[in-house]
Amino acid sequence: MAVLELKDVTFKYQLAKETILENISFSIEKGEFVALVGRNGVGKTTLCSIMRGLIPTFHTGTMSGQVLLNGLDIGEMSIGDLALHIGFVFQNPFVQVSGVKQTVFEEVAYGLENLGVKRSEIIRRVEEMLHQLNIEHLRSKHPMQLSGGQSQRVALASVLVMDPEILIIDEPTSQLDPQGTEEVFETIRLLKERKKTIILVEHKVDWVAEYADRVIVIDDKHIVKDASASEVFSDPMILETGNNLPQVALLALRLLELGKVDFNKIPTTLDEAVEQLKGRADNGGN
Amino acid sequence: MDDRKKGILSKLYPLTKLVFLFCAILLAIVYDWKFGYLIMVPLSLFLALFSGNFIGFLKKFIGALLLFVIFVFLFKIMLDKSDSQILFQWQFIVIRIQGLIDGLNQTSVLVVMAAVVLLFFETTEVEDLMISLQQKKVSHVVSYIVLSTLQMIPDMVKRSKVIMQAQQARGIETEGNIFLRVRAFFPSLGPLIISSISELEERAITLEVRGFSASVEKTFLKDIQSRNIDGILSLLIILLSISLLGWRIFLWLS
Repeated sequence: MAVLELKDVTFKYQLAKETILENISFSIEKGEFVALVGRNGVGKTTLCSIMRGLIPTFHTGTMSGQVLLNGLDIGEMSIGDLALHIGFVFQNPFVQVSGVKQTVFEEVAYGLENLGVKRSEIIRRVEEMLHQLNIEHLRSKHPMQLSGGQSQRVALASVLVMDPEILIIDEPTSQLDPQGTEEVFETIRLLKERKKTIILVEHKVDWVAEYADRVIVIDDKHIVKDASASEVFSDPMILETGNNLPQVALLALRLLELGKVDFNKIPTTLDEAVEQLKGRADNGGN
Repeated sequence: MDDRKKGILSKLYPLTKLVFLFCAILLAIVYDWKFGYLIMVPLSLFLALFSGNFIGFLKKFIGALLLFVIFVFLFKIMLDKSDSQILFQWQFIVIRIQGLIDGLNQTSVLVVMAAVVLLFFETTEVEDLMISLQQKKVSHVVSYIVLSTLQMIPDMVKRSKVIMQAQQARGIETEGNIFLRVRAFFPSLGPLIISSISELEERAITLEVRGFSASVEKTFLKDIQSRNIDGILSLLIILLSISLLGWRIFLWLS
């Protein structure tokens, strides 16, 4: 059974003239890693809020359709209790602090305190999370005095430590350098190994192609493509939806266009490209 | 989680100190100046020796005294029209013994309050106090409001500086004489308020995401526990206060 299912969801913000999303339907299986891509302002964040149950309770507007969490209607659950099931990391890292804690360690522990986890267990889990996201050195810093990248990782850690079964992560790497990005994606991979369901909004398509199972492309209020990462990112149509393709896919397409090299399938990850090109470089070279 | 406040008194359970605070103020109200000035102030100063920051306490205490106590005191002395013994006279300034006693009586409650409240906050983290109150079934919402307000103030100050700089960069004069400063005040006030309000929404989402309103019993990372010594001390303070109160009532009645 699907962990999370959207049935024909349409939403319009209260003061907006037009709907932002129309007839959105998809279902996500347990342990799946789904990436949402689409141009700025297309409604990815809105979709995240819908899946987290913040819409229509928190942001007002008119919504039709249904969101089901493990087969139950999300609208009938309390926002507070949903925190046990769905973790949500949103874009702006600077406001994702509790505002009552003096150190990063306490900040990360805050969610666990709220969930009533035992003290010794809190300490163990926070330590583990700080280590995993490589922010141990920040532990006694004030959470309001961090750089963008640092607070982004702290925000991620604060939610991941609560260990929800579903994670909705909205652009977790927007402020991070390549190394930080890699660490975040490695963390997401670890979560996937632990059978967590992950929904990620991300513009860095090279990383998405590398890690995600499935990609949903949104454009002009609708889902325009919903398929495996390698299928989506080998389709040049995606360029017309305001998204980029992975560098290797672009290279492959260009080479095809020039008629120099033939591909049986457009590669979307570096490994795939190497695999396809390796043989030819050996025997030809011309 | 190293303790930010050191000293023996900081190790006590916050509610024990709260009991002391209330009893001291109550007794200062019912007793006259001798209790306040001769017992509570020396006692507070003595206890402050164990707060780990005696000098800091002393500075704040004297600051508080200067602020309001001396004013009240001066008024009382000046306005005294009784015909008691004159202690000091210079031109139109006359200090009589009755005025002095009135002044002491009026200010003793204030002085005791200042001393014990300062001592309390000198030795207690507000967060610890809130945790101990939550353990006594005070709502976590109350606790959040108090703690977030405390953090918000320095945050707002910092933000207003950033806004000031941004406005300066757009050519608004913010430095110079008082009129210039007042005029610069308004363009920085608007963004400050609006940005704070718009952040509220995201802050609220953050809290929901962190399970703020999850319907479970909360736990605490900080290990704040009432020990035996706290029970004994609270009991002693309460018993002592009740007997002193009884004594006072007895004096009134007889």
